[in-house]
Amino acid sequence: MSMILGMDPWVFTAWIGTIFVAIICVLYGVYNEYLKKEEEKTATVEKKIKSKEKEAEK
Amino acid sequence: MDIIFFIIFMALFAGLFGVIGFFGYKKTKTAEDYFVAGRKMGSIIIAFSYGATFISAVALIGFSGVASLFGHGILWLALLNILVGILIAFIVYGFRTRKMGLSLKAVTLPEMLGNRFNSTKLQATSGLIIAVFMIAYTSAVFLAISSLFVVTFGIPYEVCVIIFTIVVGIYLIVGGLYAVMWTHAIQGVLMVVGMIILTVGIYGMLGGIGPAHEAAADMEPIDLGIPLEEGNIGNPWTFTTTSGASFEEKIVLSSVDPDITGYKIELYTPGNGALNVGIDQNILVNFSHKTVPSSFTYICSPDPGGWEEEWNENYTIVTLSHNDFDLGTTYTFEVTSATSGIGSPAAVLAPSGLTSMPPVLSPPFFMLLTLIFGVGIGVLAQPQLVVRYLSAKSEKALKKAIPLGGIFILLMTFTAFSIGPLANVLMDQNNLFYPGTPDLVVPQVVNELFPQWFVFLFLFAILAAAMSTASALFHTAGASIGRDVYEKGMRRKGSEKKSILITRVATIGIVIATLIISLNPPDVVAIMTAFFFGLMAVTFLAPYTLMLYWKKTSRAGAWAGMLGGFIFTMIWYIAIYYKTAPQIIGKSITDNYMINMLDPLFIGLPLSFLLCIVVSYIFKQDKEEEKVMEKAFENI
Repeated sequence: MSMILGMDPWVFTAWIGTIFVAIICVLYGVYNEYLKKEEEKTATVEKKIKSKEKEAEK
Repeated sequence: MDIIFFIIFMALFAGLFGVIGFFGYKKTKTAEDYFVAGRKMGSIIIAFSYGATFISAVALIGFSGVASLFGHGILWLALLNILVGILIAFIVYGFRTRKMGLSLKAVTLPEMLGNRFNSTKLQATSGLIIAVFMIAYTSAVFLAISSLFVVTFGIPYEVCVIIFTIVVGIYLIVGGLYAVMWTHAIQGVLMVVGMIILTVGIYGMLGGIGPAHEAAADMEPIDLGIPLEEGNIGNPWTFTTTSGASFEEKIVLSSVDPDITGYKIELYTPGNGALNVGIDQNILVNFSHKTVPSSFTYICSPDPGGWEEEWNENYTIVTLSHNDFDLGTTYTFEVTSATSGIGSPAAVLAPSGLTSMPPVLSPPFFMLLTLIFGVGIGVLAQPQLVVRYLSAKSEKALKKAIPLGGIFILLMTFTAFSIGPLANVLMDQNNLFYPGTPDLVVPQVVNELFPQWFVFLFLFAILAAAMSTASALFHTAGASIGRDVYEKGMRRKGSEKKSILITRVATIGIVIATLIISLNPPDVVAIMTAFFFGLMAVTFLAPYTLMLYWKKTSRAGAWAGMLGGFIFTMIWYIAIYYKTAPQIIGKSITDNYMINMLDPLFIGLPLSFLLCIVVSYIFKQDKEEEKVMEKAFENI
């Protein structure tokens, strides 16, 4: 059986998978801390724009 | 020197934690403060506290030792530790637990169950189960860490146990969960530093990740440890001593095996059938491969006595000196046992090699599978971890704790499981041998191959891991007895101050009980670590999950799931499971390894869920339960 970094494919999957899952944890944190905020901010700005537009229409 | 260092470092530990305990005391005004740190904890403290509670000394030294036996296949557990223990635990359980805990004004897992199903009896019973088994588990944690300190510093076991228990007990009882979680942050940092240096050091010694893993993959069963095989050379063999007293008459003859493959005796002197052997002739045995000195046993008949062994540098040749033989006597000598290589059971437990999975459905495969899923999934319903969700100041704090927790667990279990198998390579290269128990494999490597300053740092990192887990267990067990059993179960509700006082007294009782058990540990304590996680998971995971997600779960269903899971698991551990049954009833009732190696979680968990659901359909919620249920879900 071919070895990857000295490990068989199943063990290598566990090895790289563990690192991958830890990266997902970090990405989850980054998303919630920065990207999600941006979305909320964008949504708020859009709401404000819309409400201003409505007021202008009135 | 060692003892002076121990005293100084312990004094620093105790002083620092004492100060933290005092600050915790000043901050603890209400019952919520004591039980869930006022629900004010931020992401960093939650991440460290969750991780340090989750990862005990048992996980660091125990599982790295287990990894040395099973090989890198155990890395699947590291993956589950992060995927299930952090991501799923926080996202699926953490957020909802916090919200429901707030709605139900619950500060412990039993109180959540009790309030959600409107049953103080359910709360008291679950509190009692938690407290009883936590005392034994905490004793197991102290037993493991104290044994390590006994070996390193030569301090009496009793002194270690008393010091560790008192230090943890004082800051916990005084400072409540504030002190516990703050100290976890410090202990967590120590654990991280220790594990990073250890991992970098071990990979560095072996030339980096690739070469280190390749060196582990290259270790053959004969290098790890196989028993002596029968060769073409006679064993036992006989020789006859000279009939005259003159030393000049001694004749040295050797018997040589012409065909050496595997682990055999290659040569011995005096040879088989040798005559006129001198009365002071040493016996020399040459093995075909490195041999573990402690595994080498022999019989000489008649026995002259006064035997002394001397091994060559490579541990392939042993020279045995003895009192003088009698003149003109025929002696029979037999090598009765010897083990090759480093003497590790890894040759049997990792039959495909240290960096490969064992053959599917083989006994080692089942052992590994049961370990990976038992601990990997069991983490979801640990009462001491549930408290961490309840202590969060906001959902945002829990969300922010996820990346920190993920990295923390990566630095703990991924490193521990990676270095375990590599410890075998280092032992082989440095003529070290398997220390008899997996718990001492990594400490031995650290002791022999790392500088002295790191030996101390590593030991105190392990001590920090033990203290952090023990303090969380003490706190949860104390709350279970004080809050769940005494206050709610016996209906002795008083003021907030009285509530804290009752729990402090209960915690003192728990600490004293743990101390007594740790000083005279019955056999069952040592096996507690094997089944604590599984027992908690099978007992609580079904009612806990359904309580959070299925509005129709009834009180009767929760009782059925909890008790059904508990009783099933206890029966399985007592009568069937290969690790526990032999120690409790002498032998498992089945020899089929596909059954007796199976963790009860595999059957118990579906059974518990099934009982919970079926009984909830049969015995539906009454009006009171429905009202409480609506309240429980009002924030979700």
